[in-house]
Amino acid sequence: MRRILTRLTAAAVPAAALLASVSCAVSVRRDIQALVEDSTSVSILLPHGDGLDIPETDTAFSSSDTLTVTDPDGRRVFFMKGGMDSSGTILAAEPLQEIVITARAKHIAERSGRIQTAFDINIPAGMINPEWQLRLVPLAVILNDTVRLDALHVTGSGYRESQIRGYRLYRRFVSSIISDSADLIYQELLETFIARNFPVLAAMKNDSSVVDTEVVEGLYGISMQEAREHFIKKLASWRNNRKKSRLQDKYRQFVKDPYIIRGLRLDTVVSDGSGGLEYAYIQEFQTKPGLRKIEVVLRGGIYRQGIRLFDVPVRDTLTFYVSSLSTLIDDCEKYVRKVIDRKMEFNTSAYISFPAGGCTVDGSYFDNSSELAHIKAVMEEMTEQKDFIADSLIITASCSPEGSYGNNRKLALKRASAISGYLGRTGFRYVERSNAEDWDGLRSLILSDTVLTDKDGILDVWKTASLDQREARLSTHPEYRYIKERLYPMLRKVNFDFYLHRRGMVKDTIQTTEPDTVYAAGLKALKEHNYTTAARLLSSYRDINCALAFLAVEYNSSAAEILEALPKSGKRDYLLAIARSRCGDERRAVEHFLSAVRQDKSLAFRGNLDPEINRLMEKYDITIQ
Amino acid sequence: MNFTDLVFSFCFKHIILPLHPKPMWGRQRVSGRLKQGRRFRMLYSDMRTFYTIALAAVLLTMFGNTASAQRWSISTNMLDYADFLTLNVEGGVSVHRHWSVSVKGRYNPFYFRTDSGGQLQNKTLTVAAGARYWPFFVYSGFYYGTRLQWSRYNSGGIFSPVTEEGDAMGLGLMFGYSLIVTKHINIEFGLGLWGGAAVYRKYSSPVCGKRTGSGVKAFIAPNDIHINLMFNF
Repeated sequence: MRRILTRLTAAAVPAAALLASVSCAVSVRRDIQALVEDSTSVSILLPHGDGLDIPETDTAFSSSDTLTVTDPDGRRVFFMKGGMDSSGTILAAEPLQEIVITARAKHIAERSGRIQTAFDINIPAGMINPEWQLRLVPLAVILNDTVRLDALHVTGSGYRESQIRGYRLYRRFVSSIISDSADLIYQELLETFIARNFPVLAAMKNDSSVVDTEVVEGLYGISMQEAREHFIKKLASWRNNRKKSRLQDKYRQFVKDPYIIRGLRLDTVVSDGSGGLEYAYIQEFQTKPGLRKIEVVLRGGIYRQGIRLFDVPVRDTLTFYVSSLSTLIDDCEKYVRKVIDRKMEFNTSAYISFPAGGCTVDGSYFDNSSELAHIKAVMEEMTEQKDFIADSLIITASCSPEGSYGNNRKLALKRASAISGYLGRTGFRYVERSNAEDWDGLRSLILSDTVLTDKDGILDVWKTASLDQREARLSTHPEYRYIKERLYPMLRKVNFDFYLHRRGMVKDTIQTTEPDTVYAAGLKALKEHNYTTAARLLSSYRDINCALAFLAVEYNSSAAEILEALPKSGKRDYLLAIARSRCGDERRAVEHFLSAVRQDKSLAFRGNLDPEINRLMEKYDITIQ
Repeated sequence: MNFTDLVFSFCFKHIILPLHPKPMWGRQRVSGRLKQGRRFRMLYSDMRTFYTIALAAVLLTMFGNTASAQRWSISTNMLDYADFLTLNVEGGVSVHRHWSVSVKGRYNPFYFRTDSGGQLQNKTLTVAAGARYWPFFVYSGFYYGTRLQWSRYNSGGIFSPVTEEGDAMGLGLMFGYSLIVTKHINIEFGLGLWGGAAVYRKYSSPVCGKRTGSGVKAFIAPNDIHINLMFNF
């Protein structure tokens, strides 16, 4: 009975929902019609006031609005806000209440590679309804790209409820899917079956030893897998798989309008549409080279059950003009000095093996072929160098300490000359040398070895001065066999020292100038608005570009310090004015600005674009004719 | 008379006959002296058939699959006790993953007096040997069975005084489901049919009735409707 009741309710709920939705749809259609008739739209405005462009904490403006500045001629000039009356007399002006001007364009300054725009979005009451969702997307046109900014959603409470209901139905469906495969098996029957027919497993039940259940066989060779498959609840598992395969369809069926979480600035739920809504939108952009303006438009629509019913008419376009300090770059190239040496040296070594006591180069002996190929390759590379001319090649052969020192010295010399003979005629003049017994090499090999245990005992033989006696002493050491077999072969090597000189060069050193790549990279970074890199690369140059980079990353005092040391110029004074203005030193800022304008008239217009200067111009009513 | 005959006659004389306090097929008592008579010979030949079947089944179970482990079982049909207290037992053994063989015996020597002074009875001695096929695994899940069955019966006075006695021989088929309850206990549900030929005699009443007919007839009847309680060793 109870189940029947549930069934009835289950049937009644959608029916009621259908009725409700039909009546809702009628009222929604009526409301939309009203919107169309009234041609209601959402307006997008510039914010009142001006506080957003520069953080207030960075600036400490003097409270006075009158300023005394000494001009270059030594006269004292007063600056204050003023106006001209009908008779032409200029009068000081009293600041009055702020007047709100609705402008469609605004100058904004790029700082630290970022631009901050701010605008207000006004949503009239008619646009808000509990049964629908208003989606507004501001679009910013940056150069040729249209960037979709984070959207604003004004969701009606009824709308949200139906979304929640959809999710709830979907969740109920998902939770009805059995995820534990053990629930799809007649577990007790299977266990009893195992207890009866898998004597091995049954015996192991209280044993801690691990049995691979997949390998165990029961009576008449039945496998665990077969047993498990037999006791699967076939109907339930078929239904479960069917549900799993219908998951996507059910999601679409229940969740007609999924929650939008990403790319959203605001999602507010409203229960009645009696009042409008105002949202102050602030958006930061990364600047791009050549970015002069950003246009912002607002698009939007009214949605019901995920379907767009109405397009919000596009009315206003806001334009933000961007001013960037990087336009003040001083495009110049820097050079660095470089010293070039006439001589060049290069050395390499090869392990060329010889038969014991022998001194003929045999290419097929041990690794000789690859070692000799290496040497030949190096020699070819050396002689092919266009800038260099081959001088000499010193071939130093060394032997291991076995045998008498005199013999080894002769043998090493013979081997060196054998190699020079083997290499044949090249551009190099061969000089053969011998390092009869490489005791130093052996010492360092012993020290770096990881197998030898009695290193101190072995190194003790170095106290014996006579090399032949030293070898005799070493041979009595218990670890001599290892040394002889492993370390001695590494001593039987040949060193090649190449000497070359630069073609056509007489002096030993020459100084040349090359473009300074670091400075160029710093300048490039500055142009690409990559200010942190620019500041890092340019910091050692302490010129106007360095100061510019510092200003861009707000190292204002350092920038001012660098600029003060530079020779006077329009650009330098202008940047100095900005630096001073940022540091709060308004008097000197105005002084520098005026000096800059005197030297370069165009900077007066530039002053309107930089908020640091613009503020001063407005505050002290500086007008440039 | 060969050795097997000797064994059978010995078993009959010393095991089967003492189990029968009264002859179940007629009104005359069987005594030791009758053993050379017609009735003895009749009973003897029937018994021989039964033992042949039983022995074949036992030999099949014991040597049919000696290589692998076997599972022995013993079970009794609880529904049979409702059938005038018919005692019954079935012993079986698995011979293959899908096959088991069994022998079964049913025995009902009881007659019941009615209030009106009448008598009713459904006496029987039945032996059967058969095999079962288990689609999944022996003694687990569904099974199909077949059996060869001999039955001596005397039934009457239940619905009408007409009483029939006789010997029936035939083949049965059945179908059922065996539910594993514990490691050793199963409960089986099933039903079947059997058919064959019967040598019968009809009487007008269970006791002192007049013989109204006799002969050989073919029959088909429900058989082995069961709820077995089984013990697995």
